Order: sequence, then structure tokens, then C-alpha cells
Amino acid sequence: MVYTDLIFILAVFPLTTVVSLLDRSAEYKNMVLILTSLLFFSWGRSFGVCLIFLTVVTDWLLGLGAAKLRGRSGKDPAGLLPVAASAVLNVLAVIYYNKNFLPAAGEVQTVWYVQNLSAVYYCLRGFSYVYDVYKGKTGAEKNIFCLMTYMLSYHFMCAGPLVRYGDIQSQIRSREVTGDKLNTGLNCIFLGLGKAVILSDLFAGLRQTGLGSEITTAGSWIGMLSFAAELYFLFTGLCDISRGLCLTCGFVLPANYREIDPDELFSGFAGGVNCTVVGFFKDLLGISGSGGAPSAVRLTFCSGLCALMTGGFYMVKDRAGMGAAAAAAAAALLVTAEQAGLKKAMKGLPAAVKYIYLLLTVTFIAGLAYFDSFGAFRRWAMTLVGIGTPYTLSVAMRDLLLHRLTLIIIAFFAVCAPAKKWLFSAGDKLSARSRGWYGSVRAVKTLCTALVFIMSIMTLVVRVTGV
Amino acid sequence: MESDIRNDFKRLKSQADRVPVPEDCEENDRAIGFLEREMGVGHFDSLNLLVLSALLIFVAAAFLAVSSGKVDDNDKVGLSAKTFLSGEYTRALTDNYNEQLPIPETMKKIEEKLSVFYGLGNSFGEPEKNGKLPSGYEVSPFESDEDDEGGIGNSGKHENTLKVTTVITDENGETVTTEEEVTAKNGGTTALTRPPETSSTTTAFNMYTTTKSETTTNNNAPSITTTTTTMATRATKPTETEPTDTEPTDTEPTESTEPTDTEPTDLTDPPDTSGPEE
Repeated sequence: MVYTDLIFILAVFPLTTVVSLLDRSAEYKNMVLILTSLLFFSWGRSFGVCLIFLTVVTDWLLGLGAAKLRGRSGKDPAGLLPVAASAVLNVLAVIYYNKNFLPAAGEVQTVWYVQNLSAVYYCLRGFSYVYDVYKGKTGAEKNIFCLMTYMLSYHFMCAGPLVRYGDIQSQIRSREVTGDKLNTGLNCIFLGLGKAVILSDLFAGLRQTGLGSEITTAGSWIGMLSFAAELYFLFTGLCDISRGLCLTCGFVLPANYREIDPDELFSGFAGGVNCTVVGFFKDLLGISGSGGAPSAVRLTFCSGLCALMTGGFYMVKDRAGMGAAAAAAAAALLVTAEQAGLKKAMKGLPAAVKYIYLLLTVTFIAGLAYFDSFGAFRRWAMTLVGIGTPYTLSVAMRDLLLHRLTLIIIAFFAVCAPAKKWLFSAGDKLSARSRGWYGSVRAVKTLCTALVFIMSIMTLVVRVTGV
Repeated sequence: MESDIRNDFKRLKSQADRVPVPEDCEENDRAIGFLEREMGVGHFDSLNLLVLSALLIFVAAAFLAVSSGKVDDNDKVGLSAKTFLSGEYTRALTDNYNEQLPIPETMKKIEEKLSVFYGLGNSFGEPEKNGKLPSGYEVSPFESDEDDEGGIGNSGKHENTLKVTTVITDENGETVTTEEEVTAKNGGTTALTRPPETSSTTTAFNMYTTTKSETTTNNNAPSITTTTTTMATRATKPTETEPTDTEPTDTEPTESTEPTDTEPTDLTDPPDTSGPEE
């Protein structure tokens, strides 16, 4: 089951929210959450998939061991043993899950890239808990059910964020579901659904038209950018839904992505998407910047290691991960180059140039991820400059761009931070005139949110029934 | 002592009187306005929550209560330990829920109508082809195992190279088939597959030559008449125009269904259907 399943949005989610509101105690809410998560994770699959949750017990024991072994000084190397054991067990769990419970990539399926992440978030949570106990950032949890709530909660399964146990420990024991949280949560869920269904579908169509049977120069550019946009909106949409689900349950969590900032170049973009996981690995590898800028050698090594892990992860299932591995390696090199000096060199350039640079780099990296062979990538790259195709734009692509222009503009405002800021500030100025204007602006916002939800549901119904 | 205090008081009062105090305090008004808006924020938040939760509950209840009317008892999976643990029961629940979704055709029509607002050029009542292929059918023309000498996706050939098959009946009544590859002037059109309703087949006969030609009618008429018989090898599913047999029996007598822009060449005698057809 995923967040964008109709049966989840319209049956499982409302039912569990209502059931969990029946009692105010955190223990009752945690119990409902654990049972729902088990059902969510095993829905449509053999219950054996829940064997992966045995790592909760092992991580709990390893956490207790790490707390004892770290010593009073906190620098006893014996404390690393539980951390290493947790790392190995969690990697095995990810491999077990991906090999047995995920479909093969087959032809390009964008959703496949994102679906693979659910087990990763689960295992990273377990490992981060043991690591934080060893580092002394959080105490060892003696109540296994609290740890189980943290590890199993389906809110964090699909697309993060990666929450550290210390940040959520107090909320597991005591939290309150207020009207404000419910309101913000529902807004996040509905808008996230719109991103993951409507906008993602829009760019899927553009991708298939641009990279499909009719090859044109503009189609190659637009198609590949649309592939990146499809992944971006699917992932951020799921993150928004996840955050909304947490709020309806009383949890307040950080967002898992940041606004795109052109000043940070590609490094900022790569670090801004899935920022909680990036932050964890920066902390783990000692490049978080708290002790000054890391050396170029260390940065290169760490980037390469992350690229290796990313590529290896996607290649566990089948060869389709070759593209992901190549993209990860290229991204790592680019990040290293930017941190080494390119960012400084581009500091004085105007924002428009930086945006163009960002578009070019994202297109290039997306191209590496899209194709499984270098020959196909090379052929596509040639069409970008007009080699191999005499055509600039196909009729189908032109028509599709015109017929979906409104949605493309909405997607632009969702991604471009200055445009979004301008729009919101215009809305704030209108709201500030009087109470009546404020009410009108709020009414329009509510109406738009409701419309997004209705359109998303209808799109999903049409998709599922195949009419 | 008391007089000192009185003197100090008078002195301070005179100093205060020199500072002008406005009658209406603008800062006070701004604060009141802010408080009003603050009260409105909570009010509109509650309204927002009410509307969205009512919508969600209404849609959820409607989907559960109203079914599409399809009844299929044959495939019902009962709840048992085996079916639950294997996932069969939950899969059946999902399938049943998806099949029982109410009014899917009406929803599709409403979605198509609302998608008019998605951009320019959309019109009511016309289903929008958004370019999205059915899932599972995503062919990348860039994926080719052969080296390309010219053009992408069509190994060794320009992407608009067409194979023309010419069937000639010579004076001895023998059928000779020749094939050649031609590229349309100006590269032809960008449409690589032509729907059948835009194409017509005409057959021109003379005593010695039987030529099958096919013309397309679209907004951008090609500069030459091309015969489309075989498309690029990269096509993974049968195309609308199949490679024809060399046997003339597959060709129809002259029945041009649509007006053609070019006349068949060498049409001097009435068609002799008995000759070419075996």
C-alpha cells in the first residue's frame, strides 16, 4: 500500500484517525499506530514482509548495549560494535526486502525509484537510533513499545523524513491532537496528493511525449527535465502527505525538503531534496560543517561513498540500477567540484545564470539516471544539440504543452522560490487590507485545496478503473 | 521638603506638556486591527478544517456506500488465516474496492471537462490525449544495440527513411518486386505513424507496371507521394501499415476513399484485375 492508493486515502486513513481520537492517552494512540502500520506494510503482500520488523528487537538490544559499552567518557571503541552490528543487520534487512517484495524496474517506471525507499527509511531509523545512543545524543530506550512506535509508524515509511529518536521521544510519550494540527495536516495531505498525482502525471506525459517515438531536440530537453520534475513532485508530494499524516496523529516533524536556492547551485538542490537523510549522513561522516569546512579529499571520499551506496542499493534488484549508479556518481563529482571551488567562482554571477546552470546539471544527471546504457545516453545527448534529428519540436509535444499550460505554470510557482514568495506576499498584502479581504483570500485558498483534492481523487479513479 | 517635591512635580509636568501627544494613536489602531485579524485567523482555520474534513468524510462514505453495480460473487475470497497471511484477502479487498468505485465513466467525463482549465486549446466534450502511454508500454527509441550511422532509433538509417516496395508485372506476366529506400524531401513530416483513417490506398495498373501507392491526408501534405510499407526496425509493436506481401493479391482494386493530391502515374488503361491477381 502507498499513500496514493484510494483505499488508503478514503478508507484506512479516515478510519484510523477517527479511532485514534477516541482516547487521549499516548499509549492508546501508539497501539493504534503500530497495528495500522503492520496492516499498511503487509497490505496485498505476504505477512512475511513483517519479518523485517524483527530488527526493532535487535536495534533495541543493540541500543542498550551501546549505552553500556560507550563508557563514561563516551569514547570507548567497544561501543562501536553495536553500531556496526546494527549497520550490518539493517543493510541485510533492506536487501531482503528489496529482493523479495519489490517488483522489477522493467521499463522506466518513475515510481520504482521512490518505492524502493520505504525500507531504507525504516532501516536508517533503526541505525540512527543505535548511533545516537552511542554518541550520547539520546538515552537508550528501555520501553520497546516506544521504540516500536518510532520504527514502525507508517507515517515515515514512504518518503521520510528521517527523524532522529531524540527529536521525537517526548512526542511518543505525550502528544496532543489539536484543531490547528488537524487543519495544517489536512492541508498538507491534500496538496501533497495533488503534487504526487496531478503534477507528477503531467510530467510523466511530457516525458513520454518528449522521449517517446518522435525524437526532436526540444522534446529531448523537455522530456528529460520532465523526468526530473516527475520524480521531484512525486517525492515531495509523498513527503507532504507524510508530514500531514504525522500532524493528524499529533506529531510535529520537520519538512524533508527545502526550497530550491540557486545560490547553492547543484549541491544545494541535491542536499535540499531529502534533507533529513543528507543531514544524517553528513553527521555520520563528519562533514556537517560544525567543525569548519571539510577538506576536499574528505568530501570527495564521502560523496563517492554515498554514490556507491546509492548505486548499489538500486542495483540489488536488477540491472536497471546502473543508471541510478551512474547518476549518483556524477552527482557526487559535481558536488565535490562545486565545494572545491566552482561555487566560489560562480558567486558573483546573476541568479538567472545560476538557474540555467541548475537546469543543465539536473538535465544531465537525470539523463544518466534515465538510460541503462551509455550508448542510449550518448544518442540522447546528441539530440540535445540537434545531431541525429532534423526536427525541433513535434506536434504532439507542442499540443501537450499548450493543453497543460496552466498546470505547468502552477508547477513553476511550486518550484521557483522567488515566484512563490511574490505570490504569497501579494496574498498577504491583500489579506492585510481588512478582515473581509482576509476572509476572501482564505476562502479562495480553501476552495483551491478542496478542488485539488477532488481532481486528485478523480484522476486516481480513472487511473485505477482504466476507463 | 514638601515644597521641593512640588517644585519637582511642576518642573516635570511642564516638560511633559511640551511633548505633543496625538489625539488618535495610530499604533493603537494598528494593534486593534491585528487583534481582529488574529481572531479571524482562528475562525477561518476552523472553517477550513470543517470544509476539508467534511469533504473527505463525504467522499469516503460515498465511495463505501455507493457501488458501481458490478456484482461478481465468483471471485470472492473469504477471510481465513491462510488468505490473510498470504495477502490474498487484502489484495481481494483492494480489487473489490476498486471495482466497486461508483460512476467511473461519469467521473472520467467530469475530469475531462474540468481538464479544459488545465491549459489552452482544450475544449469541452473532447477527450484529451495527454500523450501518456498505457503503463508498461514505454519504449525508448534511444535504446538500440546497433550503431547508428545516421538518425536515432533507426539503425543505419535516417529516421524518416521509408522502404518502398514496387511490384511490377512484366510483359511475360512475371511478378518482379523491387525495394528501395527513399527519404522524403525536406525530411517528410514528424508523424511517424499515421492513423489508418488518414491514409488511403490506390493501385495503379498498366500493362507492365503495378504500383501501389499510398497517400496521406493531413494538414501538412508531404511534398511527394510515398509508399509506406515497412517502418523502422525499432517499432516493437505492429504498426498500422504492415509490410505487404509481394503478392499483388493483397492490393485492393482502385477504391480511393479520400481525394488524393497526386494522381497515380502511368494510368493509361482500365485496371485489369484478373491479370495481377492470382
